[in-house]
Amino acid sequence: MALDDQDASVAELGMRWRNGDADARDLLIARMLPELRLVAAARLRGEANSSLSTDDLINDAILRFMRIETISLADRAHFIALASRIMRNVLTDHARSKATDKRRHHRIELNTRIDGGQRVDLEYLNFALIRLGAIDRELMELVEMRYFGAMSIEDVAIATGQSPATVKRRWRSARTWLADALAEPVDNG
Amino acid sequence: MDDLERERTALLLFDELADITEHKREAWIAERTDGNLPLERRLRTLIAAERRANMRTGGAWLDEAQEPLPARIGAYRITGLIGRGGMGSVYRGERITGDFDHVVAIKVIKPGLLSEVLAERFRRERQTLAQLSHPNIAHLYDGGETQDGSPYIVMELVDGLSLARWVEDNGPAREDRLAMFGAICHSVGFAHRNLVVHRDITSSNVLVTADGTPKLIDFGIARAPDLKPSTEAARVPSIGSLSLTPGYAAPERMTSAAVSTSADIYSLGKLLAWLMSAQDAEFRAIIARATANDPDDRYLTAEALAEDVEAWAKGLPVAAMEGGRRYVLTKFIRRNRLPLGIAALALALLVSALVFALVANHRAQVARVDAETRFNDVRALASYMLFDLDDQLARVPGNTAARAALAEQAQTYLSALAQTPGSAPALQLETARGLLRLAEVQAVPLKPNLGEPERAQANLDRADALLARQPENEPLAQLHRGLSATHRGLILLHSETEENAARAALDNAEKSLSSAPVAGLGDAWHEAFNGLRLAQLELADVSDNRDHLPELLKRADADRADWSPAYRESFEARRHRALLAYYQALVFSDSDYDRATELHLAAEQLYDVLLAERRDDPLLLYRAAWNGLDGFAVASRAGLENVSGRLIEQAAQIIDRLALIDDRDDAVQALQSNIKEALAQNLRDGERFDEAIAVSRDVVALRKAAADELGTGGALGNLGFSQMILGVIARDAGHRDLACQSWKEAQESLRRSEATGAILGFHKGFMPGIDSHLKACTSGQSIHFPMR
Repeated sequence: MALDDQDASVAELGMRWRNGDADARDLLIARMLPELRLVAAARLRGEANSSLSTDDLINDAILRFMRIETISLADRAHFIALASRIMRNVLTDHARSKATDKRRHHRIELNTRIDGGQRVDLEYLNFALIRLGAIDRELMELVEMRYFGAMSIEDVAIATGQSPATVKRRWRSARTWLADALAEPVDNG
Repeated sequence: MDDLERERTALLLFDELADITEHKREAWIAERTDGNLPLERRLRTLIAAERRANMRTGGAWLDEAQEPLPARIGAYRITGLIGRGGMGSVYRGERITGDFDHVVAIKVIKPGLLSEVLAERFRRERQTLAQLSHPNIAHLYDGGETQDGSPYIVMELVDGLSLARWVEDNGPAREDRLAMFGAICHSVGFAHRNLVVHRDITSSNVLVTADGTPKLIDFGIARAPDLKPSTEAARVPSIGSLSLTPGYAAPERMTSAAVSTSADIYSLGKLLAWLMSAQDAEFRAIIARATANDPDDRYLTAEALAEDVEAWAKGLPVAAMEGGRRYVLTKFIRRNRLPLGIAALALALLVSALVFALVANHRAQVARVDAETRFNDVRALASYMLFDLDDQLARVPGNTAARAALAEQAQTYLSALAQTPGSAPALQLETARGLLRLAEVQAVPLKPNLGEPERAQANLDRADALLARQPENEPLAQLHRGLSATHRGLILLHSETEENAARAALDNAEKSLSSAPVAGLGDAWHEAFNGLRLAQLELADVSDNRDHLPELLKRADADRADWSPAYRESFEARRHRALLAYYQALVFSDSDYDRATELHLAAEQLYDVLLAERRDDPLLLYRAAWNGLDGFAVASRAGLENVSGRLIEQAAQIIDRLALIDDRDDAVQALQSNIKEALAQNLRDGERFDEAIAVSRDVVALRKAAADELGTGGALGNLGFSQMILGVIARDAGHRDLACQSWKEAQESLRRSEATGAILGFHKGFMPGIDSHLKACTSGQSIHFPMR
């Protein structure tokens, strides 16, 4: 995609989206999606010899996506938040397609470098996030931003308009809830 | 409150909990959950989940700081970060000096994660690991400590995918998977032969290089928490507890038991199940054998597992399905296997392997000129294993089973030698000695033992047969006849409750020992005689002939006059005195409670001094627990509540410590029931009736299980006694129905005990009391009168 011509409108779309324009968000997603898919697919083909590490993944994509635009810190945070959501979908889709063409379940692991390099099964994580979303949508989004967007506490604070202390605390709860939810189905076979 | 709402509330509470200080938490939780049990449970689940996650990440749960890469570690320049985890970080490094291109992986363990004990072990183990050179094991080059004290290791950098990815990406064919598993097993087996256990074999700890070669990484780094529970180290999470992987770790790893090679067999079994998707009965049998809960039921070696998998792949019969010759063979070899957790045991393994090799060699080459030499080598080693090594192991708690395995192993060699035609009488005597030692570990009461009286008696019979062939007046033979009779007496007394037979055996022992020339035997004779005296005291005590105690103690005192000054100062002699002090107290246990309490306290002081010297001596701990228990009994009868409470609590602590470190010990288990029984009585004395009844019911259940299993007069007597105690506690708590019901059951149990013809005098002594209480029960009279 030739982004260069449309840099200005990305910033503009971002602005409109932040002001509550849902169409602007969909347009943004449509723009980001191919880029994110590309990055995800390249990684998933096993170019790296370890499991997916989403921070590089997202950073690559975002940087390329907005490489010329001098973008404000707040916009950057919002873009990453949005990209996190898209990345989750891309990866989950991928995991599913992979699971269906083989005889049995193949794990796709997410290397949550943010959690000290722990690996979690993407599909289990996705199920858990759906449940968490039903309980507390904000917590689910927080996990998306941290795990799939590899966003720092500060970035999340900017994107959500909360104080870093609050984000940190909520992150502790979200992560604990997830740790418990993921502890149950862990089965390496 | 529906599920969603409960989850929301639990999460909110969990959020707020972060601000509540530790000591106020319980009250806060109680207040905020306000009797909503499901909510409280959910909140506690979250708290536990966080604690687990903290353990896993080494406490770095909320610490986001991205540490900068160190410039260098040891002789290596750091060129990148490979990964970061709970244990620490793995870096890519290059040798600073040296002209060859040497790229390595450097694993740095976080400072403070290892206790001193573990760090020391890590240092020691590095040496072993560095010598472990195998094409399928990532080589360990070097190690040390960084400036801030973090231990690190330098290993071969493997360029490859994890086994998990290899399977996922390549979808390898069945033959390739089989070959891969075989290679993994052989490298694990290689490590085991070098006394290294991996401890965390998983699909991510096996890397596969581009040409399909497996490389096991992190060998021996994961460490089991096989330390004594009382040490500081136990509170610091060990590397092992941080790294064990759910689904792969053997059950014993969760329970702090010493980790042996069989833990790796378990993980290999899990790996196999994951790797191959077969479902036929043979395959399932292989998996079941490899992952059996009891380590003793698993394959003995990684190679044996690999062989069975090969056989299965070729459609041949697998060992896991058989109970025949092959099984017998593995069972025989299994005796070689000992836990590797303790250095002494690693040594034992080496020794037994060496002896095994020597014996095999000996049998093969018996006709050769040097046969005589080998013969003597084997004999020397077997005797070393049986006596020197066993004495060392006996001082380390938790070794009863290992000692039995060791003794049995050595015994096999000795018996084989003794049966060699023309073996010398001296060798037969040595074999007899070995059999006696074996019997001692198997079932001689008053010491840690395995509770296998039948096997012990069979070994005593074999020893006696060998001793009978010795000349009548041979001093060592006389000594060992005495020892054998003493062992037999104690077994008859405790396991069979055959008081008369026990008395006869002890009389025989005294005859043999008295006729042996003291001068020629020295301390060994005194040791044997002391053992006999203790057995006689025990007989007098258990058969309810405590009036015999003073006479026996007087004789024991007289024995001491003959001790050499050196022996008098020995640990064994002082331990003997402490044991006598305990029986001294028993003399007054029915007549003068105050005096008896004083004497138990005096004995306690002797034990304290000895325990300060050898704090984990199982025999001392065992006897100190008994002293506490009996001291409790008299102190509580004397109305000295402070003393009795303290004594029973200490006894409970001591016995728990022993039971924890050696749960195979039959004597310890029995004593634990006794102490629990006493605890129930103490709770009764403190008028904490509900607790007392609960503990007492537990004891009855334990005793009932034992009686159902054994059906002996002793076990039934114990059951009756504990039922009677339950009745007494119930009576004092004002539950007349429960009291009368329990006594009814006690009467029945004691009558069954009596019917076996092997009821203990102590138990029998309560029967009239129970009868008259039951009469009072039926006639509606007061049941508040003494039982005895």
